[in-house]
Amino acid sequence: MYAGRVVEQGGAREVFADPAHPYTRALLESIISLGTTDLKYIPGAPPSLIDPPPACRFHPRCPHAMRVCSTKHPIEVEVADAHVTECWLHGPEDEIPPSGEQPLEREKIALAEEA
Amino acid sequence: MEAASSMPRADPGADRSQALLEVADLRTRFSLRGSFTDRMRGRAAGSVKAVDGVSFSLQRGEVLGVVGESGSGKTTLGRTLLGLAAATGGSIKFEGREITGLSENGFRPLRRKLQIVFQDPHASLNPAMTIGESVGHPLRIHGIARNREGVRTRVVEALQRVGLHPAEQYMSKYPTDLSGGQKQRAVLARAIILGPDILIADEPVSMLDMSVRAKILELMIDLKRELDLTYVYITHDLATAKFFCDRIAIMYLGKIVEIGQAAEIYDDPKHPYTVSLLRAIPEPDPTRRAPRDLPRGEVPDAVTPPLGCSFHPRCSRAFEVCGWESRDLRTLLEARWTRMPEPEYRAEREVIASLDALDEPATSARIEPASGHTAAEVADIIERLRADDPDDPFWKGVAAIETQDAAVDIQFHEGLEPRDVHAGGSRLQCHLYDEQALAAAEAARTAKRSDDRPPSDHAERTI
Repeated sequence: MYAGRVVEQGGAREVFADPAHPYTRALLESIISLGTTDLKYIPGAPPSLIDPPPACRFHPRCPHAMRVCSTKHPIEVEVADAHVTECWLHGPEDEIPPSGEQPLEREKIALAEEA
Repeated sequence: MEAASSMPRADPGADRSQALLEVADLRTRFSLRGSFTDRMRGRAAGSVKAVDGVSFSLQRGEVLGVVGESGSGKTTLGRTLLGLAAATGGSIKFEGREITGLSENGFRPLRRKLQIVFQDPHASLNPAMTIGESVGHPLRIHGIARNREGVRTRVVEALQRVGLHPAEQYMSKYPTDLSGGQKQRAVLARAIILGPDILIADEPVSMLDMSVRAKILELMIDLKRELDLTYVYITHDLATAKFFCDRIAIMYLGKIVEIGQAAEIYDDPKHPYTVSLLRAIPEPDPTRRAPRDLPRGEVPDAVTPPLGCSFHPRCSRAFEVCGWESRDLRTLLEARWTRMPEPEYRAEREVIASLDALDEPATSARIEPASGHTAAEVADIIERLRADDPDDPFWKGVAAIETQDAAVDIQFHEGLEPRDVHAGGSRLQCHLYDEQALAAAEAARTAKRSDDRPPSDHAERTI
């Protein structure tokens, strides 16, 4: 779940082995294990739910954010059997407006938002 | 971030050849109150040896990880170092000066030098104080900055140092307005505002989100470098300790069972407890199976710890001299019964009178049959118990089993108290690495072989 939305859902093994949503991937990467050689984390902090970011709520922190992510709410897609995600990286492509796949240009995340 | 000029650093002119903190045979014991009747009879209620003979030294700039399960005494050790729990024995020298036994007033100047960060950032901040008031509070307590402007400048600097900026935005907020990570940043700001030498961090990231843990750890690494801090990092999490610490001390039931350079502890763990702790770390990989050889049972009661090595009842490599005793027999027997279907359990249970005598720790055990049953039946149950798992380390500890007319007597090998031994670059307390203990075990085996009759029947038996 991210900011009040279920962004990915599937069998536990499947989601851990093959995470589809960038947020899931970032969460898994931030786990510190014995093999950790450098610390990874998600920049910024979870957004205010009073005034959440438009469209995909994760787009301000997402390393793969595209133009469409800030303008159009993602649609749930099935990436594998009983494994769904809400992320434009997985389409549906016919719903993405022209040049919507261009990388999102944005301001740097304000340090004040750091968790 | 540039190092701000006025932020107090740990004592820059300090002598670096001397250990910053020297702890020797430190003991912290808590007396138990006991029941009313115990007190009326003048019976001692006993005590918990939370810290039981701990020694280590800490160099300036070092990060020492203190790792152990719940109940291992790691938190009490941290509290004792700070004078929050009174040491009942041993010594703590800070910059060469003894600090145990100081009065509250005598300790107060030291609190500027020794600070602590607790696990729960929410409980660490007064909900009725703004972040600015909380972070500035130590300055008022120690009478360092009296005027409002002076306090404010230092608070702003500390908040910015921990990544809470613009600081003005956070000063007037209350703890409930902040996320867990932000609260722990504020707690860190309060801890560094006096310019301490040593920061004792007791599970500082355990209550935080996975995605925030890494950030706070990174902040602590930055603070250490910029402010020349020395850390005691208390945790149950070996994964963060590996990343964060220079040296690791593994604690079990109040004792340091192994201490050494982090690289050696992780690459070449020696104490069986360290080995099993490392094996127990979960990996977020669903294809990896949980190991099956984790230590059985739980951390024992610290009021009446096991005889000999405290870890022996859970240790897969324990042998003759590790301290086998009557309570281990009860544990093993009850574990057998737990696995049995109820009718079979009842059939065995009614043969034996009472196991309560086994609760008194002793190197011999007597089991009496219930009325209407015989000692031979009891002996039969003991043999079935052995047949369940003849390789259980418990049986190495058994010196003799004798079936008398009215009871079965079980004699255990005499256990030895573990002492500090060195292996590789580490110091540890384990008989597997102690020549003297190994020799004593060999002698016990020899004595047992010569007792066994006739020897030819047992020639193949590996003991």
